[in-house]
Amino acid sequence: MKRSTRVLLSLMLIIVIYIFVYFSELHMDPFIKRILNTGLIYAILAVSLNLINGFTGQFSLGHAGFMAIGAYTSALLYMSPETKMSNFFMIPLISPLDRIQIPFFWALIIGGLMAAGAGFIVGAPCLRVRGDYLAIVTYGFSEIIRSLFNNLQNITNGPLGLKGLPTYTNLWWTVSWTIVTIIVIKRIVDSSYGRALKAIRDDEVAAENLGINLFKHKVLAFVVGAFFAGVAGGLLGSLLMTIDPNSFSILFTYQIIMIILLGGLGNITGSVVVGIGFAFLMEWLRFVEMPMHIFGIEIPGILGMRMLIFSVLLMLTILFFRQGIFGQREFSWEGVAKLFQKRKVKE
Amino acid sequence: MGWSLFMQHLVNAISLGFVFGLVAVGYALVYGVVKLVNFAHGDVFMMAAYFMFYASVLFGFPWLAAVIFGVVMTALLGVGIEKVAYRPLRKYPRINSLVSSIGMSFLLQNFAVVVFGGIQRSFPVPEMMRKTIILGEVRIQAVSIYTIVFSILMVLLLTFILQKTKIGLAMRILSTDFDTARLMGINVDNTISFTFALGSALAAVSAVFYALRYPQIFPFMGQYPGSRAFIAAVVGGIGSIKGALIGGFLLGMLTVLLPAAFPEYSGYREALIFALLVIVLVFKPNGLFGQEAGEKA
Amino acid sequence: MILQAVEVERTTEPNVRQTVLKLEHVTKKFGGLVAVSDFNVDLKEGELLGLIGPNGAGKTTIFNLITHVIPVTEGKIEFYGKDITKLSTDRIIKLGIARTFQNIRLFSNMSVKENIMTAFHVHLKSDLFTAVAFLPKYREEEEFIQQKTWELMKEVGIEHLADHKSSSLPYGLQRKLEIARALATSPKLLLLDEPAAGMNPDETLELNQLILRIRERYKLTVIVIEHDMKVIMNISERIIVLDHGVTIAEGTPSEIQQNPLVIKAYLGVGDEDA
Repeated sequence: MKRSTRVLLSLMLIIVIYIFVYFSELHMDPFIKRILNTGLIYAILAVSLNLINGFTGQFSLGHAGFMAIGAYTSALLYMSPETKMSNFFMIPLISPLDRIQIPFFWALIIGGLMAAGAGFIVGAPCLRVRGDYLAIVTYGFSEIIRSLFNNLQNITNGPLGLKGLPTYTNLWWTVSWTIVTIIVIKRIVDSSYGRALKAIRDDEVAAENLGINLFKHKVLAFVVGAFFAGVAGGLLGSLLMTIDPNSFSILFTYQIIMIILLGGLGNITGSVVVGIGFAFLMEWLRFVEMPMHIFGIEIPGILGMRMLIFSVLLMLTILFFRQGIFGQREFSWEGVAKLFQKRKVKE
Repeated sequence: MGWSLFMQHLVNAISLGFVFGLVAVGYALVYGVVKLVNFAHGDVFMMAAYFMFYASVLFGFPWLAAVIFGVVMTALLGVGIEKVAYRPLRKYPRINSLVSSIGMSFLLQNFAVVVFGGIQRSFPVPEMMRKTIILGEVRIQAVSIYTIVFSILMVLLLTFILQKTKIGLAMRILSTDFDTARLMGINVDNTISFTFALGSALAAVSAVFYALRYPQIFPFMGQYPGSRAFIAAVVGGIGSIKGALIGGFLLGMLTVLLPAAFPEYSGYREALIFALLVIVLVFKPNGLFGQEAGEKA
Repeated sequence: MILQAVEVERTTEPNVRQTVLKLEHVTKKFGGLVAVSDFNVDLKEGELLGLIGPNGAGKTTIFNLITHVIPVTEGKIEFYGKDITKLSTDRIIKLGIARTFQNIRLFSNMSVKENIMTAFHVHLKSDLFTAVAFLPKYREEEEFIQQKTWELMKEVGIEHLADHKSSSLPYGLQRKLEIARALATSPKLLLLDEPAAGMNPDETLELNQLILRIRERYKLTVIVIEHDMKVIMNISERIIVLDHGVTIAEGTPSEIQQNPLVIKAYLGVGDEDA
């Protein structure tokens, strides 16, 4: 299939998606819309973490930290001075943050850039520490961020968090950012740079002996991954309308890791599908925590059951689906074409 | 800070250091033998507290019997976790086992929420542990003294097992080389199981002293001492028993003495301790007392 | 025809050729163990040097020192007159040294084609943005890479396996892929670490020809580490023999074959190996 055909098909798909977004924003049930928004944010997070963990093979546990930076930075920029004033009643917000208000888009970008900066700092030790040690360093970083955000009251409002964030996040925003994330990361991965990243994942020494600068490329993965995590954090903050440091704990990172494992390490399609599916699954699983009536017998809802089922699923994936549900299979227009051809043959 | 107050803090720090140290030894033992950072270790610690709680409160075991029951159950749990979650992944890259241990930690916490309930429960504290010993102006909790005495006994026992018994020798050989161990006729699976049993039992013992000190138990109680001990193990040099104990002390001191000395900065304690972790890993990846490992081939 | 070409090379006076690689008093110690001791070599352009010695003699260590996988303890390494002793591995490769590994190190999750394409990255001119935006400059480079990759696969005879996973290839072909991948970095100096290991006699013969052919075509200077005497004696112009990190002999293949020290230290053992 020619490249131009693929680009055209992709463009058409994007238009179809935006038509869907247009009608969804008008008619979709707000509850479903909210879950879909969450799912798309998970997809952004999963695809961006996959760049670091799946494609470059640098096992990072720092994603929640990047998100927190993005969420706080953007929130402090797009919130109105009045809302800020009502939030920071204990210790006032430092100047000039207390007076600044900028458009949502630019707030997200700056949030992403701040996270990318953190990505650089976290990625730098990559040259010295590897494997599980790197996992520990990134975990440590994520905890340092959480601890700092709990204490820097004149910037973050401490453990009280920020409340009454304006809800800018809607499907237009989440869908657009998901598309941008997928395109950018897909293009990186398919380029010469992506080949270098995958080479580092497969064999660092061999990669280095082909002239690949390990430091530059590992940091590249961290910076790009962290940028999109930061943006996702910003989107999530505005969707949930409230953020506090402890919601960005290691548990959040675990959830994203679960998504990329289920979707298949180094599989973008898997990350997106499982990311969206995960949001719906978690919502749907809420029913297990509600009282149920089966054959006239009332079974009381059990608190925490949802997370227990989730963790059992996680363990089953780790133990039995090491390749994830999608394995190495990626979405491609060639694949779609083949599917149609097969059908025709059957007919 | 007056001298008597300092002494009180010091005893407190030492006993907390032992608690962290014993949990850290669990991380170190497992890492030494199977090269796995067992993220579920802190939750095994939590399960130990619940085993003892239920044995004592629900089944009416005498306190000491409940503790022994708890230690045995925890050891079995540790062995079970290794069998189910780590053994099948042994032939895959190490990162698989690491993720599995994260998943296991998650599973144990959520299991505890569902089965034991999310509310806090009171751990039974025997009368003799509640006392406060007064030496002049220094007031020391009896628990601290018991913790220190029993921890020293545990360390001696551990040293004996590692140095003088056949299984201890097997563990030490396994920690250097799997293949050599196999050639020498060591049963690798059994030795690993024993390592997990031993590490978990140590976690159970420290859980007793931790719960006596902070008698509220809840499903996420393992996270804090778990992460402290984990940092202790890494800072000390993961895989080294001595390092784990010293790391535990260091963490105990930092945890107790830092806020006592600088109360206004106590909020930054967590950030500081994690920063210590990161700095040690980046600049001295083998920890303060770990052995130098060979660099890339 | 190929052999004739070699004859021509051999008659050329070595002194007038430019020095490619120069190792002076290179020593490597691991703790108390001396892996390489006072190693010296002056390699001329187009030369094919054989490096032999029993296991643990320090041959691979020398390769690791040249590409700075490990740092030297003492001594100096020069490449075309430039001191590369302290340069990082990737910069050394960029200058024009490529290598293969004793225990084949392919990118196992990538296809044969991708393995070779990866090696072109070192000379990529487009920056990340140009590549991601797929601008014409990058498109041209990518096309060039595709085309060159195809040529290299043909060169070593694996073009029919382009889309196969590299780990699915038989041993002999994996070795060839590794050579093709090394060539993709456009080296001036090629370091081959036991390229014939695990090959049958037919494959070995073919490999000999391949090595001589690529040397001609890509104007390479080559160092080969090899246990298989049929390879070393047939293709090398000069041989250095190492034992326990010490250079015990240096000379032409026939000189080496007659050197009593070598026979004692190595050839006897080598025959048993074979």
